[in-house]
Amino acid sequence: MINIKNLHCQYGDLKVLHGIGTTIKKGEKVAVIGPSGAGKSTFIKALNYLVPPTQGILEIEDLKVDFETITPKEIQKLRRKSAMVFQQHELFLNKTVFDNILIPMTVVQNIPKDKAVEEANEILEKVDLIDKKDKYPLMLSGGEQQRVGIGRAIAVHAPLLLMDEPTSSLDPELVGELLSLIQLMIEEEQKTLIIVSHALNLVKEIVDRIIFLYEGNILAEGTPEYIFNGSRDPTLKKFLYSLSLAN
Amino acid sequence: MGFKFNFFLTVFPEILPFLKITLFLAITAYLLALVLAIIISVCRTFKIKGINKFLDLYISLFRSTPIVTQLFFIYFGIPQIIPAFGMIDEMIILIIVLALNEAAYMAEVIRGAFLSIPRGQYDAAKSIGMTTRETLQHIVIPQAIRIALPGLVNSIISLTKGTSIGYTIGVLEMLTASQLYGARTYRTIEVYVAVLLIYWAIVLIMTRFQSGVENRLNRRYS
Repeated sequence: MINIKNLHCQYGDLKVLHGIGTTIKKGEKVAVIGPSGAGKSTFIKALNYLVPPTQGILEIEDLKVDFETITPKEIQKLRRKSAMVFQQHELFLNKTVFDNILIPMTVVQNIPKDKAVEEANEILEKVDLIDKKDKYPLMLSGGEQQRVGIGRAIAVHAPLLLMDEPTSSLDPELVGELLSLIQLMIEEEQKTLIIVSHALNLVKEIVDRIIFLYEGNILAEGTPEYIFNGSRDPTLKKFLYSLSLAN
Repeated sequence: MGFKFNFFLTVFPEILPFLKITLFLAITAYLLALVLAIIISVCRTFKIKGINKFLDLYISLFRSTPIVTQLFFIYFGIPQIIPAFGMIDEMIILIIVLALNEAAYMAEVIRGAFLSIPRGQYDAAKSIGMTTRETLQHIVIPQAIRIALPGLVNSIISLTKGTSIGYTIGVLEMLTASQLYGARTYRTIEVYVAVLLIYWAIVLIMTRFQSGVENRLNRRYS
């Protein structure tokens, strides 16, 4: 269970999140949508403390942190509970594909090398990159790099996966393929997922719930069916309409 | 007088033994400068309070004044205030001045390399739970070395040539040895052509080494 209470974030004087709160069940898959500048990326990065929230409480399983009093130790613990997949992949450029998967296990979690190697190979099989394990990230296509990014996030062994627009830098024909992989990995590994994506038509097929964020507030949330057909929120309707025009 | 080729060939056995002193001075000063430069660049990149202003002053001073002036200040000037300083061997003084001077340039090369690592690399390392030390050790420093390498090899080249200022305080390195040999034989053109060729050859070898290492490291990034 993930419990987010009264989450505030700001950059300098600019307030980006205004007291967001929600509860996400274990294994639930949640998409965060909203127009540019709504605070989606800030929200997802705040959960991993990549953007430090100014206020709020976050509970992930047995870990509870108060962002006003969070300690460096708690930050490390929090990062063991949530793994990020980035929009621009952000793979370690000096490491091979294999080492990108291995490093969270050997360096951070201190898993014995032979066990970590075995698991890294399994993950690479799952993301279908075993034949490219000795390549470096910049030798791969965008889609392949993102699959490594997903593999690395799985290797963190965190119960919560955070994905910040994982498909936005990919060619359209690869988006569906990557989302299918995400769905498969999430179900196999029994993770909870929070994903920010603009590929709404595809994302709605894999998530249980959608949160609509607007100007740093949650304006609507519910099942994909409710968000697309049930909600009467005019801002949401306008957003969905503009998105349909764009598509 | 003219250029006597036979005499020219006799110059090499006379001055080449001093090449090892030149290389010793350059390598020792380089290692000292490298350690100093890494410490300075880490302090400046991560803005360690209290020391940054002093480091800015040091870098500005050593980059803005001639190295011979720095050497004379330390070798001739400081002993007037601290007489004990005059007891230090001139070779050690030369190494210290070369290291202090080159570290000011190398620190900027290394700092530039640190700053050129994309923000996302730090974020990715943080996001998987790596500490600052682990991030530096496994992700940032290996990438920064590749970026800093051309500048760092230029530094050893510059130091190798820079050891020749040892002549001004009587350190018996390769240039001093050539000067003495030229004075003894009254033939200078052959001596200086030989010494130029030796410096040139060393720099060419270092440049080849630099290209080889660069190509090897760059293979991962293309």
